[in-house]
Amino acid sequence: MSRSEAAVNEWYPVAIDELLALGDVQSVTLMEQPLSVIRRENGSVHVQKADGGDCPVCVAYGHVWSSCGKPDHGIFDVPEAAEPGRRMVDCGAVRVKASPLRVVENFLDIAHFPFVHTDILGAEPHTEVEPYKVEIRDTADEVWATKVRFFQPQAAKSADEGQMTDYMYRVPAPCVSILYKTCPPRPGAWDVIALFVRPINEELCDAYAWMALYDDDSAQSDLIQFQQMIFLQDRSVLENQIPRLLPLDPKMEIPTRADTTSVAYRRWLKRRGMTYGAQLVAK
Amino acid sequence: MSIELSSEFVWMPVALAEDLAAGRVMRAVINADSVMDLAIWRSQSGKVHAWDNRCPHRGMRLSFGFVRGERLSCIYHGWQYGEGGACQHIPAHPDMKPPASICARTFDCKEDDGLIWVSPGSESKSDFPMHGGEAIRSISINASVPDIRSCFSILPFPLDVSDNGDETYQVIENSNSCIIIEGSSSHQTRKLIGWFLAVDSIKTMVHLQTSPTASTELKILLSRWAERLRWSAENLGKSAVA
Repeated sequence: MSRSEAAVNEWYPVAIDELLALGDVQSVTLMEQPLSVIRRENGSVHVQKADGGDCPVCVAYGHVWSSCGKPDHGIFDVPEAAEPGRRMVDCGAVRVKASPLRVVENFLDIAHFPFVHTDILGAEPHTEVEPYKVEIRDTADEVWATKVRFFQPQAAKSADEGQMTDYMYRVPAPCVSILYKTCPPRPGAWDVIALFVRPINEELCDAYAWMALYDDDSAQSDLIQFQQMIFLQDRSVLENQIPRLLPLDPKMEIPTRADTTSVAYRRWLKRRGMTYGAQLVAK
Repeated sequence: MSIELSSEFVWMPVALAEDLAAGRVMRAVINADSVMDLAIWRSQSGKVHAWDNRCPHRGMRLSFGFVRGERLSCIYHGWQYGEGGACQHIPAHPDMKPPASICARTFDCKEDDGLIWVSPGSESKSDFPMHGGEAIRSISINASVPDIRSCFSILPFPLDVSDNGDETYQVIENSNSCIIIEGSSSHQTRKLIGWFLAVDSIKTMVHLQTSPTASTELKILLSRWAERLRWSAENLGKSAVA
């Protein structure tokens, strides 16, 4: 298991906080280990391994987080979660037969919008990806992509017409991606949409979406349905990529300039030794 | 002569030609010496192509893509591939000429006697294993090749729309990959040719041909025969009473 040591000591989502009622015990699998997520009658949350051993627990951003190992850091900070006026939306989990790293990488990609999310997040002939900026912020050890712009026919549930949408992407942990995008009702502010992925094994995962939006008009069910529709379109691609593992060998898949974020993400994973869900050498 | 589909046998039938219309793409899996996942597509002008089912960009199966004129476009990012598998257009960079290094892997591919044939190897090509057949049907059967073969050779097939009961059958070719049975009656002789491609140990694609040319009515009867073959092979060894 030394191969996945870097992966073991990370935080992963194991339950949706609101759906874990008093007295509930939920069974989940994290990196091939069966875990029980428990909310005791006094409200406290515990995560246990099959042998009864306690796992670390943290409740943040609408989810219960845990780890099979011992994270030497707290969970990443999402400052927007504390901003007044934002609406937090749990979108549920979608199971995907793909590497968790493929799922995160797809979330960082905009060039697929016109083809996979046709007439919603993109449409021909507006397919061009303009140059944007990617960096690995060393202090926090996070991948950031900024100054990303793309034409969108319907950028959000609250959008009525096509517009150029500004994006920023952030990868604070190997199986987490957070995107910031233009907020139609509030110019100048950013909507936050995050994807938290729990590896079940190297080729199977549950992806939880969570949003912090400035939108007090849309019905909750519409917001969730919009996000689920988008993600299910992604899933049809994710379950048909060969191989299922994310190749870290640069010879295996050919990127272009539009893939700068994905190239940085793969390098960053390699540098961290995060190889759980990755293919190091082409088979 | 024994006909075996393997790496030495360079042409393999993957689909009925009439099942692939112009502008469409389909998936085919060949499991001879190793498993091959293929995207089979027909351009608007009618040319058939067989490619490795994997976009060189992000590994997406090209069989989910769409045909635009003489190019196959990947569903994921719309990258377009043309003659020889070369990438000809990357929508994210519409003004850039894609480098020649971006190329889908291609295989030789031909149409003959109503079937699409693929050559998975790179060695020199032998002749087609043709018997002057006409394609009837491709059918997926949840049974192993040996089980299907044992049913195939004992299930009488129609020679004509109205057979009169004096038909006799002779197996003239019987290998792992191909069975040819000749049926004769007082007024008719007809061959039925079955090609077997194992998808895995429990699933097989069967492509059926006949000769001489069959009427539409007889094709329907032979297609029903193919369904009886499937039923027999999938229920082999199960109680007949159940």
